[in-house]
Amino acid sequence: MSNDLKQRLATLRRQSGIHPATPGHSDATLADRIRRCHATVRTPVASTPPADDERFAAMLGASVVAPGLVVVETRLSLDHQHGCFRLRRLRGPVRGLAEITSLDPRRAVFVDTETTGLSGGTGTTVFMLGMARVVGPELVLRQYVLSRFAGERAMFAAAADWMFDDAVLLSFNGRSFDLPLLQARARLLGCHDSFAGKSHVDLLHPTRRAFGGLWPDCRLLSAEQRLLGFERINDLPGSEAPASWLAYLQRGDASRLPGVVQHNQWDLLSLAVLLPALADVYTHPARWRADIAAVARGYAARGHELRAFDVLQRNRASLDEVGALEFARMLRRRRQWPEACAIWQGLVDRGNVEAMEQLAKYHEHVCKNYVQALDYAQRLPQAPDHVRRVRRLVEKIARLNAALCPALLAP
Amino acid sequence: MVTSAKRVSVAAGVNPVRHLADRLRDKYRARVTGQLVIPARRGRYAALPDDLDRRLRRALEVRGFDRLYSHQRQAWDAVRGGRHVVVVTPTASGKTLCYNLPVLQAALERQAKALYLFPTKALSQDQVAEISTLNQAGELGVRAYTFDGDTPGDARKAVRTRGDIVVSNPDMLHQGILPHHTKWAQFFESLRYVVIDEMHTYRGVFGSHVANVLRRLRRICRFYGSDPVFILCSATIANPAQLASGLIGAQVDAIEDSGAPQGEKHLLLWNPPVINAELGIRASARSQSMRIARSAVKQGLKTMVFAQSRLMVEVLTKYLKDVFDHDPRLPARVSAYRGGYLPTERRGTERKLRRGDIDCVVSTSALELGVDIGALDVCVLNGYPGSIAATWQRLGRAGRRQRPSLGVLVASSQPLDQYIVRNPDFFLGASPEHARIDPDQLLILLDHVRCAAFELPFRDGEPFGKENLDELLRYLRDEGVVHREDRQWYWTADSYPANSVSLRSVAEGNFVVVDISSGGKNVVAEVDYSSAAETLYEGAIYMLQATPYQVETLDWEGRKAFVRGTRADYYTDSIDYTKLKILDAFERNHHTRSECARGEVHLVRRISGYKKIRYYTHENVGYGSINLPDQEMHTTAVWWQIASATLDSQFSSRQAALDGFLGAAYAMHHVAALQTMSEPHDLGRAVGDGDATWFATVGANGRGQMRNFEQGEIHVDDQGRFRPAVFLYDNYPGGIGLSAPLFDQRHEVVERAGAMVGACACSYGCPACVGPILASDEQRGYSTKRAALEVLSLLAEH
Repeated sequence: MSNDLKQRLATLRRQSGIHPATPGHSDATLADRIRRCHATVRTPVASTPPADDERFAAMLGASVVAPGLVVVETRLSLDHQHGCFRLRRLRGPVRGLAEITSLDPRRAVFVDTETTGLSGGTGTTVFMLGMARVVGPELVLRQYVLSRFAGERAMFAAAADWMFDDAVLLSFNGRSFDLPLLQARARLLGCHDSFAGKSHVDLLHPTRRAFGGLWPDCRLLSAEQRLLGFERINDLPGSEAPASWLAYLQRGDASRLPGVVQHNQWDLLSLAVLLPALADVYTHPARWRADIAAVARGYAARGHELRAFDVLQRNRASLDEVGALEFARMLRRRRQWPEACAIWQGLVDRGNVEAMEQLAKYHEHVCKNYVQALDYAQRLPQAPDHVRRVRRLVEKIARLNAALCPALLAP
Repeated sequence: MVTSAKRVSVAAGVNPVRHLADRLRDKYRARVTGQLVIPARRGRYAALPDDLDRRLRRALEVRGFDRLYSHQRQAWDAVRGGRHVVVVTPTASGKTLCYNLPVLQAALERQAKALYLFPTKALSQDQVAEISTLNQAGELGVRAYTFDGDTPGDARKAVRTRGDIVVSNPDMLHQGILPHHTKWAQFFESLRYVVIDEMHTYRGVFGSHVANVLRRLRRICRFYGSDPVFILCSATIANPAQLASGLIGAQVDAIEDSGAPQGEKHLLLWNPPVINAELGIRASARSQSMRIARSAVKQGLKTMVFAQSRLMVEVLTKYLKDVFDHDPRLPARVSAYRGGYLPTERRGTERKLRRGDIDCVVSTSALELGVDIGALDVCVLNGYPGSIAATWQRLGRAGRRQRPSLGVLVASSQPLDQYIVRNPDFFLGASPEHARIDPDQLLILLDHVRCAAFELPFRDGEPFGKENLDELLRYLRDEGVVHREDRQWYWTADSYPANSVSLRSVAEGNFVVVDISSGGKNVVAEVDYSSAAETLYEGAIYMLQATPYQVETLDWEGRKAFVRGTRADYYTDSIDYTKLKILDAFERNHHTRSECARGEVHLVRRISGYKKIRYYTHENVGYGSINLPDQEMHTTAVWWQIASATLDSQFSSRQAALDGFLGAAYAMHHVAALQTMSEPHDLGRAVGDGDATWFATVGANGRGQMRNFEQGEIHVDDQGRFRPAVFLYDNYPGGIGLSAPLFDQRHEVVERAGAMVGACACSYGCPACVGPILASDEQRGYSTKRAALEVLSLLAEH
């Protein structure tokens, strides 16, 4: 077979560029054959061997950890201010999030990665792994950066060294992006994945819940502008990170990598203050103009019924229609009928159909005041359910009348 | 159904299928050119294996199996012995048990996992249903799940971690599983069996892609330390073991002797009657298929009609509905089934067929596969399907339940059809075709080297395909998508390569058909890229379940066609032109008067207009023009040319020579398809010069025309150089290896084409030899046939 291949290649080499009539024969390599099949011709990329690790580290202000791996370590006092928040908020327990009602920040490990691609899958490499922890009076940031693939294993080992048993991972969109990628790479390398099995709070979820309906998008950048009061200056967009590292790997061009380190550092810092910021939002949603009903639902969904009720009660003055209905629903469940009815009545006056239906149900099943119930039911728009309710109420009233006044039944 | 059964006047005890077959044979003696009765065959059995798991044995017994067919036992023994096998037995011979049995046994014995691959999602669902009945019967507790584009996100994890049998398709393996193999680590570690059903569908471009996907699968398995046994199943083809081993890259044992019983089969070869002897014009295949299907349905027989094109499916459905479904208050008895219908609609038709709610279905090759549609009695093929294998596969759709069945192959006026019905012994005795794949086709291989590099870095010296991998990787490095470090090649591009590689075609992007009749925008169908240009041009009548829609606008870039319901009494058929330019000759066979060569060509295809054809009368009622981008392709071709001096001396005029070339090309194309055992669609044909300065087609006046893209029709004598060639080209970008065997058989192609034309009974040329000619030519005594024979004899000197 290999003989045959040789012959085929030999035949192809005899091919002249494009026209069969020209006798001048140029070398037709495999690459030429491929190019000819494709419509476009690509320009080859030159390959320069990357600089050595020491030089690489020096360019980033990092130190060499292992062959192919450097680390940028940054220590920030907890007095450091990031936007309108101080890191000082990480001194004591952070309380109030639906996902984790109380967290000792010393257990928190903030994680953010930069990768060779944004599409996921095993072929996407994590070339920068940023982690941050509260250690004593400081927030310590460690950003592991690969100078070549050889450092990947060491990166996982270093991360594992800095990890601890009861760590709680905090990320932004890590559940669907960063952590699956880390897991895939660890598996591919056959090395221990210290991120696996840890508790993990993806702060994208509480952010999206509280602000999803209110902000145009819920990217970390939007949270910085709208919540943290932080503005990045000369930030390298995250989407350019892959090309920046590849420029170094393929051409030895490290010029854009410091920008990636800065970008990743801002991500980590924003993550670190987003945690207490969101705790505030969940405690005082009205103050932060968050979606109060959604915050309450977030609590309820995780079994914190009391907190959910509490949020609605404290912010009752700021509830929109959906929030008010949610609150009334909770009141109903607690059988606080007068309060619930007051809310429904207020909503009915504004033409809310669901409140009207709730009142119809209340009068039918709780008060057994069928006439009042019928009054509400008849004002409901035509729908099979509503028609059935009206019919049933009319029957109930008739039966009641008959019981009270048997003469009506006489032929 | 009930009413039609009453009309049947078959004597008690006579099987209605046999009765119909006899009646057709007696009444249309002249049209039946060949027949075959395959007697019913008894089953051959073997005992259940001794080591069969107790629970599995009970499950089989509950389902009524206390023994196996001999081929099922053979498969069991081979698979248990760790050998890859391919099982080639007819439809309904219990193929699924050949793989389900060892797979379930291994799942029970040692939690072994299995991956099932079916070419379509519909077949996957049937399969899971089948496993779960066995599962329930024996309370086996084996978990089988489908994993395809329809599997919801939250269910995927359960499939990955808990599935014992994962049923999927090659596209999903390629795009959804392999690039995420680390999520499937547990599954790959315990993967013991890979089942590939409907193997015969993995040929040509698709098969070449699938072979590469399987190379990637085996590579990933090696990474996780597993080496699964492959169990393949196929309809009849000439080379099952060869195809199987080409697909999986390892030696495969073939099991080809079915032990299943089979009902009596009647097969009739049917040639429509000649209606104009001089012109050699026969009644249409369509009229004959209609007649046969109509009497079968009237006799209460479940009937299926296979048509060659989607258009013909719609036309036949309309005509049959005009007979059987004229009362809109009654449920429809006739239904169409073809690619392009939405999945829900197809599932609905399948269900009605299984329940017997439909009496007649008209389909394209879409129903050729093992989709479960229950028992059918009669199968009518409107036109030869193009290959012997496909013919038997389609005929096999009738008579699944060991009842007598009838198949009728109705020949069209195409040469291949005529050749088959006029030489019944050829067809009845011929072996089915070879299924060819070329996994090392450069572009296809390169696509999968990309995907494989994404999945796992290549190591220096690692085998993958038969080309020089190192050279391919260096090419990819120059493109910037891989990076070599420490003797490994890492993927470095910001992309997911599998998403840009479609297994089904070399071009990508399906078109959706959007109905805007009622103000809304409903997607009513999908059309694949390769046939979009010829079916969705603006003005085209697009038919769905025999309801005509007219294409109002075609958004080529957005891949959308907007259609509106119409009452047009015509359908449309596109006209296309192809010009070819020779880029290079790989091999040549030169003689004094003529030359034959094989090489690389560049081809441009333009769809320039369409004809409007009225229903029933089939007259041409108008033309429209089409403005679509040209389609380009590099491929390989074989071409035949005659020296200019010889042409001048042998032909009275260039016009006569051109007619001869066109006639010869027509005959050679069809013979070549038969000779190389490929399907006519796999080969394209063209007549032109090798410089793309002109090409030739048969014009509306029935004579050859010389044209170019710039000026349209040009005069034959205005051209300085006149060196026409017959081109037969590999109809896939880059070629998939059809031109080499064709070049090897260049003599036979010319000789047999000459013999076919020479032996044809017509006087001046007809659709069965050199293509249709006009009545006026016949009156003038001009013979395309003679010109074609002259060309063929000059070419035959080799």
